[in-house]
Amino acid sequence: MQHFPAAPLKKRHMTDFFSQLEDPEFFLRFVGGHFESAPSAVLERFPCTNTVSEDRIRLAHDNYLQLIKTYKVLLQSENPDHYKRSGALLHSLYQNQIITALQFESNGVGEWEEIEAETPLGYSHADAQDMVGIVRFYNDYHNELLSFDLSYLCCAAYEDSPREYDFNFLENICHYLWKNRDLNVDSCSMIFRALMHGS
Amino acid sequence: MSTTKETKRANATASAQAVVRMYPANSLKEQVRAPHDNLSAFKVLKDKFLTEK
Repeated sequence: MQHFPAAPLKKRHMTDFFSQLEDPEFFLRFVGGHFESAPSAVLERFPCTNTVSEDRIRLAHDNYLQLIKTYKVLLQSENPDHYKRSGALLHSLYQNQIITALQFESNGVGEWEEIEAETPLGYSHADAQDMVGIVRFYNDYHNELLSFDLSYLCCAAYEDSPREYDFNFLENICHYLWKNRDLNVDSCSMIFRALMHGS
Repeated sequence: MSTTKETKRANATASAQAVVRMYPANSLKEQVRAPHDNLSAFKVLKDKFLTEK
């Protein structure tokens, strides 16, 4: 059951998406929908249910707004750019750990223990390793993965030619966020500024 | 003729602004596409692990 119906984008969404994120109900639907629907988008062959905390999303929104307000005070323009806003979004999402539990389901290829042991039923060794790889990655980094993904999507929406990234970069970012639970917001913003301006 | 008190107040304001505005000037530019039209981490993961061989 979908608890977070898709957030409707206003007609002016092409010019004010970050402004919409300041609305708590839009933020709840946009973030909740993304985090809740992720397993079906990523783990097609191995169903999984995320437990998404509405309270934590609302707390993340409070944190996000506070960070934006701080930037507005500290900037001459009082209108922080998309790197700062994406950094604030990443900071508020990954530090609040929106997903509180994962529930893997049996789907005919074996139980989680079987998958983890790299012996899922009916798959070649190579396919089994790939299946284990994506499930293990998601199991280890679900909050970091989805927090970065959503923040990158928003940041790239403001770039003429957004620089894309590969798995190596994604794995490093997820591990960096997982290992460093208390990054400040400027560090998060710098991730996007550095990524988009890299050669 | 301004009083000493007024001069101090003006100086304090200028000084406070210099301290408060601590980031290089920038502002939000215009959005050019919808967020979900960009590269998704889901695609990066699928390309890495689930691409048909």
